[in-house]
Amino acid sequence: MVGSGHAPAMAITMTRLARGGWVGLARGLECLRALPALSDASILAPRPPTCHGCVSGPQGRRGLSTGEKDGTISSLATSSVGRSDQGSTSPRFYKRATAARDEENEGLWCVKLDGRKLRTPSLKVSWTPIGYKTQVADPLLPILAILQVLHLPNAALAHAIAVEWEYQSTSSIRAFTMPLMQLATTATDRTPKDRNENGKDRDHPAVSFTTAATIPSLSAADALVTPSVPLHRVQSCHSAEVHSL
Amino acid sequence: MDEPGTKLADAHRDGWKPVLDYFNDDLGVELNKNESFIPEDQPQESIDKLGEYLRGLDDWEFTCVYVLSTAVKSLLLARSVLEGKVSIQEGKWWQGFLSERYAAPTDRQTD
Repeated sequence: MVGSGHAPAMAITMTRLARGGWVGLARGLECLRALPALSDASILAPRPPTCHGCVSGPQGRRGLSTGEKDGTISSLATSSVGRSDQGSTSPRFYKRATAARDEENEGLWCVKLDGRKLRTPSLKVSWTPIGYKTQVADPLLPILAILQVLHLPNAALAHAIAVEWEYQSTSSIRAFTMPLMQLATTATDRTPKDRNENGKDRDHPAVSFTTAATIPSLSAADALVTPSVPLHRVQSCHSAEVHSL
Repeated sequence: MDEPGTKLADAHRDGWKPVLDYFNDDLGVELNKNESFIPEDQPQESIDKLGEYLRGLDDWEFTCVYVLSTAVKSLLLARSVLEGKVSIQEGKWWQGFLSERYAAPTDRQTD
């Protein structure tokens, strides 16, 4: 999970990455470093990979026994938090994570785990043609459940996400240490779906912010009320909301 | 009820002015300021303009605006931060003000 304090900077970073290539990446990193709370979770190593379509992440960093405080994802992945398998969804099933051009879609990038393309979590279900031939409403009509390849708009974001995967420990994969991956899958899986379902976006939570909640009320009474709600509680609420989007 | 001259009111005015000005200059959106705890709707025209802006974003940008707006509790601040008009620290000024001025008793050092 993206920690509540990390969410804004990660979102900015992803936008910068999605928009701006390496210049954008530099700006995104500036944003990350600007936020003290992020010092332990800045997403990129100090030496970001510079080659295109090749291995990302320095060799030999996985499985360090002690946490380093160099402010990178590697320190998070190998810190005391990182050493625990708590929050792990599966053991590490790949050796190397790399970024590569997607040969089937020109201009797009993808992340490869041992040469296999990384896919997003949501299933896309499609019917096989067999059912149409028989024209019988067969309840056992075979379906194909396909995981979609995670397409990324440019090299910078692909490398950044490859780094997140590369720095997982040898024993476990923990999604909460991969905030950019999370944002990217939200952007590719959930956002298009939600925007379609909501038609004009009018009912989307982001749009509802434009009404009463846009500007918090200013009265002294409000000041007395507001602090009684612990900010971190509010934040974690919103954070959960983001991930259930 | 307006209570001008309080520290909170001053902080709000100073904090929000650049953001509101930016929206007015950039998108031509005018927003009602509300100094009551009773919610007040914004003009329909402004909502439409903001909606149009949001629909113009691609899915990547939209996701980021959404995450940011839930994190800083405001679409206005989220967009300002995203477009680089307001820094992250400035975007978080409201939280900072609250915790400094009205920190929970357990966190309070001196008053």
